[in-house]
Amino acid sequence: MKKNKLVSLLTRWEVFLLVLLALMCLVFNLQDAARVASGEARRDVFNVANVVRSMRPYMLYSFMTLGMMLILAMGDMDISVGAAATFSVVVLGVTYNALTTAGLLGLPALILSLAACLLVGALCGALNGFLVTRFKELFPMIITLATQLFFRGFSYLLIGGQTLTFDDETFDLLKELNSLVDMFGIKVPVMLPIFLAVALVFYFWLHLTGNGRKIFAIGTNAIATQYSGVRVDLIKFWCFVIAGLMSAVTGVFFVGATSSSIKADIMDGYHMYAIAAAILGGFSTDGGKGSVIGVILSLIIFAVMKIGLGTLFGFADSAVNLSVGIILILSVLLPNMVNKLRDDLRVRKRRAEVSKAA
Amino acid sequence: MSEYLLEMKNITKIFPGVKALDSVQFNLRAGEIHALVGENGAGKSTFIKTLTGVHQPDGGEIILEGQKVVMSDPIVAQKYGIAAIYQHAASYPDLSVAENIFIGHEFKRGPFINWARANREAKKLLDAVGADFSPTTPVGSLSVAQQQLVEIAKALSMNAKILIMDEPTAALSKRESEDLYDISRKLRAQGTAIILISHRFEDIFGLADRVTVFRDAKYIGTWDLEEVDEPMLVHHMVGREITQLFPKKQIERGKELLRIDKLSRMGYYHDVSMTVHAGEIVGLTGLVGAGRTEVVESVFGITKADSGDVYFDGRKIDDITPDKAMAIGIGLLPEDRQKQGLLLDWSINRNISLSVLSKCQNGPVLQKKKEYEISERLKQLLAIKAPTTDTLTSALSGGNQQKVVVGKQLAADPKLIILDEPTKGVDVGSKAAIYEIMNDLAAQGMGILMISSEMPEVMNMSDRIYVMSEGRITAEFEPAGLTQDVILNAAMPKSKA
Repeated sequence: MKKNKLVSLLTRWEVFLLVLLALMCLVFNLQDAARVASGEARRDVFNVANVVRSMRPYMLYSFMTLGMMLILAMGDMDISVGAAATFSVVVLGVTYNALTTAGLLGLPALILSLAACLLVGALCGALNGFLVTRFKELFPMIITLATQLFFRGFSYLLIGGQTLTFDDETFDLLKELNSLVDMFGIKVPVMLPIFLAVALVFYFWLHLTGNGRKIFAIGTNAIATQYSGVRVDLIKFWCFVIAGLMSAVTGVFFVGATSSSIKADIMDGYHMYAIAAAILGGFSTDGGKGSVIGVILSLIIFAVMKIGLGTLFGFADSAVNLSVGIILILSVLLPNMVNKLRDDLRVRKRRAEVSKAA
Repeated sequence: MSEYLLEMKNITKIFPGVKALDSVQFNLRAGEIHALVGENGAGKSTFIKTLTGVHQPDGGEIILEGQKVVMSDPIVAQKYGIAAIYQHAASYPDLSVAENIFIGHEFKRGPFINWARANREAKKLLDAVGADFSPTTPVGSLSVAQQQLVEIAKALSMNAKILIMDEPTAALSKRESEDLYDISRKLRAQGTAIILISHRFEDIFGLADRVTVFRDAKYIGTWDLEEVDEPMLVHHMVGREITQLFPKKQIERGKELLRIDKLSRMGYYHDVSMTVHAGEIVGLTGLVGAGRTEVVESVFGITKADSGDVYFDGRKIDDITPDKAMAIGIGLLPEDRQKQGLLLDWSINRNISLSVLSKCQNGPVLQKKKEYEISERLKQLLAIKAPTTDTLTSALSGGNQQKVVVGKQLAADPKLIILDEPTKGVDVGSKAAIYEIMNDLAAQGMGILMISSEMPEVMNMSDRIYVMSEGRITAEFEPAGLTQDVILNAAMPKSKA
């Protein structure tokens, strides 16, 4: 029994991600060592401080990834999250402008605008949730494809092709969200501890509460879950609302990171990053599986690849993206191949036993 | 040449972790109906799959008309004249009957398909199997029985010498089954050999010439039907004596638990009224599609009724949903245990606790210990055969899976439990166990509403019987002195009877 527990622990997806991470670190360090051996100066870009710092761009869509986790765990899909983020921040900008024009200045204006932004994100999610639970004959993918166009259309309706820029001190506070702070002697992006705190809440929710168990149950078999007396539609609705809310949060960080300018076409394709990070983290479009730890590890892996391939090997961003794509495909294929191999070995062993007995 | 059309000798098949077939034998004469029986997991399906080329045996040989053959894939098996029809017909619902029959061996005219000829030929085949629908009908709009006729016509179109029927009557009504028997006999008279897999003794004794029994992946024996009777066959299948399949005890009828009053839902059922008392087992029977499942789904809150009232425990219930139904003490064991009853990828423990998670929580946090307490208790109580409660439900036999679904309902401490076809596809050993559980529950004062199409089960287990036909309750019976014909007469649609 104990042995079985050990095996099931070692074959966990998170362990595979850790091994992958360790391997990448090893390769990148060897490369640096080889450089030193051939007489070049040690680059020493590959250290904890750098990895932590280079997590910053990935932190942007990390919140969206947390929302995407919920959707994938239920076996659903939401490709409108990027557009919902855009729409939310467009509302943020428009509200802030309107309030300042009306004479409300300073922090209250910003807080009210932020509240409007989060509310709009949640409402976008609520619309998705309503449509998905009301029209079960339609695929969530199609529904959210439609709402994606809807949200982006609304953004254009509000501000057209113009770029909203803000150069007052209060609005610039958002830039602080993109700054680095000193923690434990290294520079840490402010977003990282915020993300980890939110991720901790998601971990608690998904893996330790009854409600989280129900979310995975829905992804495993929604019909049987309904017959078990679980309010499937209600849970689905709220998960979509939270996914929308997390999109708005991503939007706020994006504004902070991009010098407080807002356009109707920003964050296009962000849903793809969120899906990629969640899938590498162990979630599946089939639903019913995945873990928050895996998602955190997958974000770290992205950051390590970025410095390793980008800075150390000098690959262009496009090549880094390509590698992420390859890792993603391998990560989906590998478990299948391992299972197949294990089954083959077991059959062979049984056959040997049978022929010996005969 | 040997007297047999087909001989299968010492067939062995090994899957990861399990020996599915252990040197089994089977032979088949031309123009006979040969029943293959055994409990779930006995190896019948695997055996059939080695014959149809889906699986390759790890040992043994297949001799067809005196020649040793290798069924390397399903297409080869088809060329040898072996065709199979399954319980859930594996057809293309959006294509027409003719397209389904001739898919893979179409009539060609140059690069094009000769539809006129296909429809003409299809019509001939449909006539041969006694079907009265047009070859251009989409298969999806046909009933299950009609779809099976299409499958049989398809087999005929390929000049099948051996026809395998896997649980063909499981989803059919009594009358549709009779029609299928007639067609089978006609095919037999024409020289087709039929392998019949069925759990229904009515099928076996009504139709087959010989019977072969498998148990635990092993060959037990082959008999002429005249040589065996039902208890003997059961004994061979389970490997032990089942003293009493229906252990009916007399239980004092308690107060009224459920009262359905003039419940209607457009297009499904109309003006349905019935009652269930504590300690009572009420049978609800009728033909498949009579609206029985739809009524209980509305009582449990899966769908909404248009009009009428439901009273439970003396109180009228409105706006019912599954969670509310379970909270007030109604449990439903759904008809399709694999799709509606279980999360097959989950363990016994997690399946059982899913319906009572709120009982296993401390605040919002799950208490694993509490979960195991509940699932261990029910595993013991229902005698679920599995190493631990961590065993995945997909690894269990049909009967044990059904027990897990019952366990899910019992965990919520229901006062009334609705069982929709509780023994469908369950082997005879587990059937007896499920009947015993039902009696125990009734003895504890639980009310039980059992939907069933199996007449012996309905007549022997019920204290009262309702019959539905075309969405209406057509009769209510006491089981004493009741005959099958009386029930069937009430179940037949009046427009056609």
